[in-house]
Amino acid sequence: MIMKVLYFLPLPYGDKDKVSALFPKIEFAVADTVEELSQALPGTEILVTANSVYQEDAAQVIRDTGTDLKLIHFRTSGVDRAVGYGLPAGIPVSNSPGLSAPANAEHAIAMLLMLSRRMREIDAAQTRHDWIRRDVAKRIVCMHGMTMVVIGFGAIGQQMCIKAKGLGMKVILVSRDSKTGPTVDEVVGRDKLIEVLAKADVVSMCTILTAETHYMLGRNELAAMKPTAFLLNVARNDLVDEQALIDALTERRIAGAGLDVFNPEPLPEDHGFWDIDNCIVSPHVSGSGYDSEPRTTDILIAALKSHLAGEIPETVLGPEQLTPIEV
Amino acid sequence: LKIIWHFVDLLGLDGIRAAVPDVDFIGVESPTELERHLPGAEITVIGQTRYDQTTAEIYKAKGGDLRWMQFRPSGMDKAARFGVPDNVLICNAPGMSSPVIAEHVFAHLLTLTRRLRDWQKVQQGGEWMRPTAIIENMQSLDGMTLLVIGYGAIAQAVCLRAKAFGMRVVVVSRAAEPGPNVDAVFRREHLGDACAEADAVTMCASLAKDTHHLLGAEAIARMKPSAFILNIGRGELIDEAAMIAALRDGRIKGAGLDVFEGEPAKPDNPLWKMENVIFTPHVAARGGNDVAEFRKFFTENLRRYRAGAELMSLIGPERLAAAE
Repeated sequence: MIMKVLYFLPLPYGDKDKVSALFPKIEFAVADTVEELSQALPGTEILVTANSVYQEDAAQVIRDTGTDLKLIHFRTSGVDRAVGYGLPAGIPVSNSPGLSAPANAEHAIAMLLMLSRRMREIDAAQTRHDWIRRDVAKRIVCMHGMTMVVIGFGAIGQQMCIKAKGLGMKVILVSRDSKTGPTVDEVVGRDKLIEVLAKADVVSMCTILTAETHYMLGRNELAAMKPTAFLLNVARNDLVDEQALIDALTERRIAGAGLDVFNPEPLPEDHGFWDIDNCIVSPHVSGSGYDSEPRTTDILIAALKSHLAGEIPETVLGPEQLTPIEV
Repeated sequence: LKIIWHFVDLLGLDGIRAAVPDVDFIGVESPTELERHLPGAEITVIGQTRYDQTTAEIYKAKGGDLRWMQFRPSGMDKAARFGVPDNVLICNAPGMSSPVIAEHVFAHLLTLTRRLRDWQKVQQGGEWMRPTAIIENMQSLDGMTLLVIGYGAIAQAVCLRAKAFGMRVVVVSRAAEPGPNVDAVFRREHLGDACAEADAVTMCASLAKDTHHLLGAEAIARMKPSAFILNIGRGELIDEAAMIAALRDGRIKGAGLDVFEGEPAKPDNPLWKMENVIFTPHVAARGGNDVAEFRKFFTENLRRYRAGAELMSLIGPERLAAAE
């Protein structure tokens, strides 16, 4: 029997022709609506979808009519909507992690340098035509020789380590497993988190959000950080206890933060982050400006190849990433 | 042994006194203080920013006992322009601030490519807005081409960082060769061709006779309309008027500038007002470890001087003449 792959994605489909040309023995179909999805699912072995279209009605249809499914592949990194609305039981789910990782890490470093080099103050002086050299110079800090603690060693974490090393920083990685790389000076387990936070000049959150990493940086962890340290988060909201962070920033217990992810998004107008002068807010744009299409396609092709070979794709998620997070 | 320590805010004086306690270091900030203390001083250690016409005249008139002038940091253009006393050893101190200056280059470049100034305005507005006009203008350095002009210590620190950001690195220099951090090298006569390839051009050459207005109207005209100019070297490396015209006409996309032709920049300099210019007041070296690094360097050079050994970073008369 010919294998059927069904695309249920936000338009455009991007690489469908390219991918289907590589797999002549697979039949590729497309569903644009939930109704089409329900008609096409019977007999479909692999569903290719995205977090954004995995709404409540689609989730219901997939659970009811996706009885022949052997794999659900997400062309997105996030799968939280699907997890929230409920995935069919027992079917492997794979995702596409770190699609824009170089840009995510770049954006984090951009926010870091804006903080460390006082670019915001200098920018305000520029509008006043004020040569504030003597005044601002004493407050600028250099990252060369400083220590960055990178939490998580997925695609973004790896990119952060490379960039931090490029700036001449010492890199300490906090990671569940002992996986490491040439740009990492030291790797420690999560049980040592508080200990290494006290050494950090910069803390960069790069891990996925699971029940275990939820509020990983809470009041105690923030209290362990130096008053001169900066916090960066371009990865996932809810890795950091936002209220505890607001308190730490406004009470100057840490030097500043660069944030691109929030809970909720859009960040409400009356939210505390907007007006904190040592906090840089960007509206979830850290991956922008980077063409992630080639990598998205490569990951899909790799998943299909593995599946055809009877293997489990590398990008298949573990149970901790498919469990709804209870707060 | 009497040594003049001639720096703005007497930067590093306490540290050097502690490091070399058997020497009489005299801190000097103003021309009047200099005139008073210079007679009898055998050595002066001086920051480049202090070396202006008036200061140079005092050194030439009253520096009869001087044997050695240690300049800090590396640029010798002012010493060349205003002159130094005859028969005095001249040293500079290159490379101390390279890491921090290279870091500042990337602060400028990333502020431009990640549109942080636009996002700053959104934040000030206090409302979650994601205008397509901003997002579509965001860029990743990954895969971009950086043109580095010059290949001294700062340039090499820039090349290293550019590689960490996934950039292709092209260098214009006589000294550079392709290597792990350098993808291609152009000679200066092909500067225009190099500019045509660049997504960003960064000026890291030292200022000398033959580098004045090195990036002129002709080279700027070869740049892509999407490209940026970055300058942490010296204002005079770029024909500022030509750059301003290109920025104004949209022939280049933006600039990150830490140095200007004439500092402090004049209040009517159009660069202040330009939306596409990140303008920092000559602070690229700030925040670095350069004071401590320089203390180590000078302590060693002083040891050599007292031992009659050859000094580090000695500048001969020909090199000084070429720096003018």
